[in-house]
Amino acid sequence: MGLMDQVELPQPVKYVFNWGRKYSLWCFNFGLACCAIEFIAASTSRHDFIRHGVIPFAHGPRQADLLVVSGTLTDKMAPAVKRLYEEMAEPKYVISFGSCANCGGPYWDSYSVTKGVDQIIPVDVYVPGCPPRPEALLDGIIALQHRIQNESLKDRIAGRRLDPVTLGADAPLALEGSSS
Amino acid sequence: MNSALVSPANHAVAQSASVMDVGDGFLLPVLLKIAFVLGLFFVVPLVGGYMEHKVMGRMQHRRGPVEAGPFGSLQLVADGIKFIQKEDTIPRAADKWVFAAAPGVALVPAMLIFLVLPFGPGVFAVDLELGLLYALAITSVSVLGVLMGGWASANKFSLFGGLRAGAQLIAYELPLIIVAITVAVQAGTLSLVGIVEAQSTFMLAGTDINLWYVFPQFVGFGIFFVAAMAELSRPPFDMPIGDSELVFGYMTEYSGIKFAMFLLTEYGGMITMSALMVVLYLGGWQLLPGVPLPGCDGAGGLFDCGFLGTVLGVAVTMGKILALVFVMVWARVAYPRLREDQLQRISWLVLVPLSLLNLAVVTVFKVVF
Amino acid sequence: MATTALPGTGLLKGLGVTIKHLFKRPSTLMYPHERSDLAPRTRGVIALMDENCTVCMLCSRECPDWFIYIESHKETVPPAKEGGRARTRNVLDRFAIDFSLCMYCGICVEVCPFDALWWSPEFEYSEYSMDGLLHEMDKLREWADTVPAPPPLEEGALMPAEVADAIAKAEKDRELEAAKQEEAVQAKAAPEEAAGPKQGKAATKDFEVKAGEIDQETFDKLIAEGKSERIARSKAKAAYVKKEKARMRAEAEAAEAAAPAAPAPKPAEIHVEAGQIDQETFDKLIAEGKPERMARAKAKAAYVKKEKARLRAEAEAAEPAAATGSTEATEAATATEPAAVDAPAEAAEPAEPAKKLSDMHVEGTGEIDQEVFDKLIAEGKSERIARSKAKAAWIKKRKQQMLDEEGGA
Repeated sequence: MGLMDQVELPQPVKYVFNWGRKYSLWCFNFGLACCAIEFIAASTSRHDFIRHGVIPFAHGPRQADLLVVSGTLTDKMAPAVKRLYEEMAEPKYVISFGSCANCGGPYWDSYSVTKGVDQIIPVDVYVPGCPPRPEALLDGIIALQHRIQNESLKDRIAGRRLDPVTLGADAPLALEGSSS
Repeated sequence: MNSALVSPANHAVAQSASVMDVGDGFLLPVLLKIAFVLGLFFVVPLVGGYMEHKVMGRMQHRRGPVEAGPFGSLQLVADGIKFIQKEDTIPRAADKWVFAAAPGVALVPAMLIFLVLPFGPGVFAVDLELGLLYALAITSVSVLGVLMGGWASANKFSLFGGLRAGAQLIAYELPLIIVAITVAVQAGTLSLVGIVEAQSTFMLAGTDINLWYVFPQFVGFGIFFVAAMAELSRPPFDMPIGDSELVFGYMTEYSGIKFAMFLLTEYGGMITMSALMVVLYLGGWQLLPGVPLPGCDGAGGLFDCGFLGTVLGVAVTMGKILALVFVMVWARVAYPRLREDQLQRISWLVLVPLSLLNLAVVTVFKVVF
Repeated sequence: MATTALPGTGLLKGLGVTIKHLFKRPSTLMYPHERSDLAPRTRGVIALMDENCTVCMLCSRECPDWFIYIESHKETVPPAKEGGRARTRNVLDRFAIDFSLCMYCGICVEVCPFDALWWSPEFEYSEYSMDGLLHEMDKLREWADTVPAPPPLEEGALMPAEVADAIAKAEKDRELEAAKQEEAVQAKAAPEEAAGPKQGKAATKDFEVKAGEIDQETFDKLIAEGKSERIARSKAKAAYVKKEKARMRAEAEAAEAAAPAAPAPKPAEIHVEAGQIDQETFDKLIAEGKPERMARAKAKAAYVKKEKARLRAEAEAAEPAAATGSTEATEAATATEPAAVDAPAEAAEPAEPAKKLSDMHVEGTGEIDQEVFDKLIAEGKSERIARSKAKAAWIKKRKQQMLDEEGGA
């Protein structure tokens, strides 16, 4: 909203606001490989992550809060993920689901695979597994919710501004000053 | 024979007093009514939305929201709090003013219908003489917001969605209005309160059996229900936002609070359409056909029910509304989305002729008996 | 459309299906509050029992993604015997697995020749940052404690030779001890009258119902009736157990009738183990093929029961003893003490010099403390656990030895 990232809110308000974000994670699934099947399993009646307020399958990136990258990210697909991430509205969260999304996994020395989705977008929670169990995703989501409940939106967005990963090549490098 | 039909004579036109008309002042009743409309508009859709989550979950062998609040009851509150924090994205190529105004144009009419809807004996803001006309007219304004949003987003999916929504709303508004007029013809009044009252005195021809309009006009009720679902773009009539074809239709580019306004319009629409159906066909706040609420005095007196009767009346109305919302959710779970051409065919080749036939038959009966 | 059904029945059918499911119990697993029963060999995480690792590097080399990091140094082990040759040995310094790269193929677990790597069903180790997924030896060792016990052996399968030996040895020891105690008791048969009513319990020992035995008569009858063999066998087993029990009860009653002549309860039966279970019941249940958990629980219950019975018997015996001023009863009661005491003493042997022990350095050479191993196996521990504990015990002993030598020098 423009204002939330400018001022540090008083504690009770922050608590309520963080609580709202915590339990309303409209989820966008970027399914790229077998992990996507486990992700879908987590959304089905057996595991049902709506219980935790993860509303599955926001129609478009604009409405999504949570991007789950599940599967092998190839260099060819990477621009699409980055664009999708940039289309999402702040505050936005990313879960990297499975070894391939974490850092390339079994394809870490492949010519065509991006070595982890965190090379192009910032990731909040890494869920290990190949593929992880649906419960492992739920565990990751609970970890993310814990993080959201305890974070400061202002700090988060300020950090994002300086993050060269998010802003791409033409962003001012945040680390420039500190390195000199 | 003549007694079988209702004459509106015993309904004092536009005279029914709202419970909120307290005191002689001007300001207090107005403030009360504004609070009433806003309160209803922001609370009842949340109840409907929570019910949708839960019912849909149970029908799909799931549990629905559990963690947010007791039994997940605060899920939609959490959604709301989240939406006001979301960044408000406006595409660079968008027509900014139209883009920003569209959700409001959609939302405000949906809110304004609550002005005339009676939720119990005397529990309404205004009893307009042309209440039904007002309600139907103002529903049609919402489509303007949808079209504006679709156009202004500068996105081809939005545009398609907006146009589909326009085509769909026009196609289904026609049968909706025709069946609503049929009810007005039978009741002899356009006042929503008057229609409720007329139903309390409508007798089966030649007998003493009180009937709601859903019995003589079950065809009309069915048409109204289907048309209302289509009007609201509820699944299985959600072609304008069909996510497998159009991302999110006219809402594709909306985020944050504006998107929440569109969503609220949809859920509010579910409530208003259900409330209209309750008023037009299901006898409003009457418990059963021919059974007045406790405290209401006999014939025609549906407005002085005392405290208990009023509370009970509101409860009955809300129960009926939520039952209809339940059926909408039920249909959503059971049926897959229609194709665009199927949608148009159903409206123009089935619903419109049927509703015209319904109107003709009811009119003939009204004149003959 | 060729059917004669009314138009719209399909739509109603659809509604019918969904409403039917509305009233069914949801199949949702409420994950953080309840967990699914994972298969015992679920590939959740790779756990390491570092005491088993010999730094052979097989896992690291076989790993398709090369993400197992092992570091070690060489040490010289003094000769085991006088005049022997000193040997060099690899000592594990670091063992790390990068779970962000792991593809859970299990090759490392399969290839490990010393059972140092195990699959644990743990899956909850999501991390906020990438480097958190590189787990070091201590974390991997923690996971090793979550490795479930292996499934029981198939019926009729041979036990591992070491386990079988240990069980046989334990059995023999127990018999010897029991015989010794019996002699001791028969020498002074003082409190036997008081304990008379408890004879039934002792009698059951002779009628252990062996698993797998069937009542041939019933079996033949059922087969003749044309029942399938499986059913006939299971019913015959049940019939056998029933008969056996009836026989036991009859005998117990007979023994009760002849109470004054019956021998006293053997003190060995009231033997107090460190785990506070009734070893006899435990062994019996294990022999019957019950899972260890159940056997342990039942054995505990049996222990409590027996202990109570013993106390009651003692109290009853003490009353006449007090009247006659005889010390024999108390002697008989204390006769159980030595047996009770030496087990904990054995377990707690190298306790005192713990502070100094930590100064001593003994590298795990794969040798185990046979005594501890046998004892643990006899207690029904799995071989894996027994081995690791026995190794630890060996190292401890060895340290003690070295410490003593140093002290002596």
